[in-house]
Amino acid sequence: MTREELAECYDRYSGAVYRTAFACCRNRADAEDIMQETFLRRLTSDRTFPEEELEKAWLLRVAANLSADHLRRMRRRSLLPLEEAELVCELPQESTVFQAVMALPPDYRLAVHLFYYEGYSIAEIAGIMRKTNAAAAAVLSRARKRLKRMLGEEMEL
Amino acid sequence: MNMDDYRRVADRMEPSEQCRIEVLNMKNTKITHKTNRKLVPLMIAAALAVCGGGTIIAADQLGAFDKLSSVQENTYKDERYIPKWDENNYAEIAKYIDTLETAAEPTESTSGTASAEPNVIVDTESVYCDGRTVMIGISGSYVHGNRNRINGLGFTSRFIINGKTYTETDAWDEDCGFYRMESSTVQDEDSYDNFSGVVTIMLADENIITEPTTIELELFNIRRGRGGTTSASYFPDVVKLSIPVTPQPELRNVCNLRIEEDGFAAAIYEISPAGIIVGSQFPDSYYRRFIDEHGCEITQCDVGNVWYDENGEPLEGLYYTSTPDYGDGNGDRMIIYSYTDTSAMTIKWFDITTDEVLHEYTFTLTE
Repeated sequence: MTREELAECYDRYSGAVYRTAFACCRNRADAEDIMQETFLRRLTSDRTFPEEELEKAWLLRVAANLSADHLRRMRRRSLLPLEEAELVCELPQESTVFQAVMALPPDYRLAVHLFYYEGYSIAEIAGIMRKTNAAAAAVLSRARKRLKRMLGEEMEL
Repeated sequence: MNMDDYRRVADRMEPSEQCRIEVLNMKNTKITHKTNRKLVPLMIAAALAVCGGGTIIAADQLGAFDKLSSVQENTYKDERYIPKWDENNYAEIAKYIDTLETAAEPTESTSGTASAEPNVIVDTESVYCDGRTVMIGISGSYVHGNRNRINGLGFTSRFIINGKTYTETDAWDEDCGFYRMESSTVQDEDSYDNFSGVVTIMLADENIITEPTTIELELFNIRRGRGGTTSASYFPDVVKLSIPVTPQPELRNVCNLRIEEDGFAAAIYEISPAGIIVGSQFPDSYYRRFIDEHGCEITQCDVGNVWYDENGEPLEGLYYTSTPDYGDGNGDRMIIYSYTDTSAMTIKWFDITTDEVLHEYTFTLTE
């Protein structure tokens, strides 16, 4: 991949990769590190993608894997809390919902992010998260139930 | 309070400009991670973010049902279990498309228009309906199109069939009433203002269409680009289409073949040009339940399964839906898109960490 191609790739997907990493790690510094590592993998990869969506899915998959590795390492230490200062919430309910999603287990919040924000199907989420379709569907279902429990019936899903 | 609140916050999250500089200065060597990155002000974007499940595929101009080949080619898969679809296997793709096209019937041309500017016009071309699955080929155009490079047109679908409403974003809900709903569109290569595509719904057992009816299809959250990104632009209105359908139940071969051995259960429910519906379960002992660091109860398992045809070639299993209330012991259903005329289907359960085959069973399919 040339420098120009990397720049184009970065400008197109850095936001999605960063937000996916943030959904996993819940803090800006780690998300940016993972994003950089993801694009380094892209730079050193010989893969070609016939469609842009496939390249994006590949990047998100790498970011999800790197985030999982990061969380495994962090498990030996204390997990960083979500830093409110890193968020820009303009309305009280925005903060409430975002905090609730971030309070979910890592797999749950990644699945929720990919489904509700990126608009991926269950099969695509399963591919990105390296799970079976059944497992991905189960994670989403449980995440939804947990959000309902946390936020009450007024939360529309 | 809904998930739009989450999307709006996520929309405002952007990596720092310093990141871009560092990434573009990277060499093909490992970078040094920084652990005390200075926080920089977050960029605030005002774009609305609305999520939907539509798949957007850029491809050459094709007929509406030909888009399914793009769906086949572009559906992301877990390469551990299922070999990647060969993007150049046009013979296999063509077989699938031919089967669908043969079964599809032209429909009375109905048109729906989103009246708000910029407006979108959608026409129906043809309909496949076997009672369980409805696939609607569409073509359309949007006025005042952005002529910059775009990734196609996306939308979220809602069907109203015999008084019941089915919405794409409910696809993973166990009570949604359908097994599968998705849409694909492709941009016409020579005209940025035109697109075509296919919208599909596969209904659950209790909602199968048995009599001629008129389906209401609504396309909303119409957008360029995919996902809740700030770069996506949204059309403000809804396209509504009324499509008369006459089900062709003879296209569905209802098998209801089931086995259970040593706690492993499998079933083949139905084969049609729109796909094969199968089910499988494995013993409860393969599930691991534990409490994670947040005090949450987590259930995990390391068992996957793959279906094979009579030649030992894996069938493409691209979609999953959960039907735990089916009541026959085969709670998990999976839909295999690929049409097959195989005379036998084998299911193998694997330990996905070791690839060890835990169990297998072969169904013989007869006329």
